[in-house]
Amino acid sequence: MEIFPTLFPLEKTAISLAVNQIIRTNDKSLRYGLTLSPQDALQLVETRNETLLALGRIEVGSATIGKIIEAFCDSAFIQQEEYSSTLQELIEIFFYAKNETLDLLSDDELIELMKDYYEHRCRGSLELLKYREMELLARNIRFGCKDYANLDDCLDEEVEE
Amino acid sequence: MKEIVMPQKIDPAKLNRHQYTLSLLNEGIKTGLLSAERAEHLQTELMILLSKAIPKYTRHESSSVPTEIAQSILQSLLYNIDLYLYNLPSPELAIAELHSSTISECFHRGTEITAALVQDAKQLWRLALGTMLDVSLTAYTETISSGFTDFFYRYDGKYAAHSTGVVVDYPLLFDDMDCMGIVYVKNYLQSLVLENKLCNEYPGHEVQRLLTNCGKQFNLLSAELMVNLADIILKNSLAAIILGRSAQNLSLTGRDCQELTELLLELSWQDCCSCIRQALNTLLCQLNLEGSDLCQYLLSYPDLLFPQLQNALDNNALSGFFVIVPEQEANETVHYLPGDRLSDEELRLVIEALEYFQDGASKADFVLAKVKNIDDLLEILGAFRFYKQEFFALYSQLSDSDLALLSKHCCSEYTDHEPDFSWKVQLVKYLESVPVRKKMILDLAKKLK
Repeated sequence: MEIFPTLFPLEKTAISLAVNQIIRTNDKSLRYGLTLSPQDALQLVETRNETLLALGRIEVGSATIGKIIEAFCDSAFIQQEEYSSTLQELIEIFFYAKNETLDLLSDDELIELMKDYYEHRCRGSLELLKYREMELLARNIRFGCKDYANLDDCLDEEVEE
Repeated sequence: MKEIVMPQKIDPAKLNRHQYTLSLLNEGIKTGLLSAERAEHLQTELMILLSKAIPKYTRHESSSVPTEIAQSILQSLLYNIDLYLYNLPSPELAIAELHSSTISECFHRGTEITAALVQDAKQLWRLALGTMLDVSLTAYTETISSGFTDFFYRYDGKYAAHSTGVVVDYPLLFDDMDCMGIVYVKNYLQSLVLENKLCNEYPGHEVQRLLTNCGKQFNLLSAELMVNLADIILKNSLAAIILGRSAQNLSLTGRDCQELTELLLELSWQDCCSCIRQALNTLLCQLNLEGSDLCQYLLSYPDLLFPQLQNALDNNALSGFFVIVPEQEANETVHYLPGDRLSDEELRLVIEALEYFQDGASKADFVLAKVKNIDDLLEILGAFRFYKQEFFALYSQLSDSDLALLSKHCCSEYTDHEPDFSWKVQLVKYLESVPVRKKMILDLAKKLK
């Protein structure tokens, strides 16, 4: 069955609503010297849509983008020049991790862990976040590790083995 | 003046029972009963309903889900909407409902129907458990006793209403596999209860014997068979009727099977079908099932049977079509186990009460209900003056084994001076009127101890 039998007529309205929501996050991020233009916001929505399509997911509303901005805008590793592109990467990483962690983590918990790893273990490296930390987290969850968020202990156990 | 164009009616044949709402939207647009704008608006409402359902499904922990989950939730929403619209008296009324109600309202009314169906299905399940036959057939007993427990515990009428997560190994006579969710489960249980009702018309030990012989026939453990009890009972019961026996006589020997083959091969295919239909009517009559739900259910049984029968006749394989008593068992001695005797006073009351019945059939019913022992029956036959046609009514209702016992007594006590109204003379006349049954009864009488 087609998930959308016909072209969803609210799509355009939904995009403009999402763009406005994203622009409103500038009120907070401005305090950290970060802002997004309407084009940047539109680009984020498009990135989200493409990622969802590529990963076989569906999202209701645009809450995720707003939550990611809220969580990451105070990071010392993000500068205005790469603000928009960093957010695009973070959106991709988020949805990729949702799939890899089998939807077992809530949005809020996953964003919180991403922020924590980005700040403390990756020191602002998106590559490390995506290819090392998220992979470890996903593996811990898939293997039913109780302390799944603790990536160090799991690594040690792996070395001991 | 502007010409008034009457909207066309929707052809129900063009509607898909399993995607009712979507096919109704399509047909509604085609017939002009629904505008394209309204259909588009309804689809938008459906998507809004989905967008509200997803966060509820994730308990507001996630705003996104995998596409398969979204599809499944959408299917569940449509399943409930389908149920509501399908249960309206006509497709036109369903279209009118789509004009006057929102998709969300239709969904909520659908969930009420789903909840009611769950309650109905639970009731039917209890009924199926209560009427379950005491036979050793794993697929049957496991399906009824444990197959539905998990289903009723886990069934989610809102977000997975279309899911049929139930282990039903036992095959039914008629199983509509196109249905899904609670509709399938309710239909299954409804049919199962009806089939139980039919099987309970036969003595439990006879059904178990039939099942055991069926296992022997296929060289399998009877408990592991994947057969439908009603099916094997009906086949042998219909064969018994064609051979002139009582419907409740389920024993068929190889010789009976040969006789049936000869009998059916003599008939044209059309006559053969009529013969089966007639036998089914006799069966329904003998079991007092006429006009019941079970009767309605069984009326289409011949359609199921005919292709199998034709195949069996074409390949001269009727012995695999029926359940045959193995030769060894057929030659065995049959032991008569008498039931409780009536006291002299009870016997006197039964004989006196017989005066008040108008016809032979009701007298026969009364005697069979009261008497459980051949000696009591002999007492009644000797003491009460039945009319000749009443004897026939009584004998036709007696089982083969009862008649065999009577024949044994008749042979030992028969004299040349028996009056015409004697039960013995009438028994001889009755047996002569049913030659096929007579042979069977005399064979049985020889084995009786």
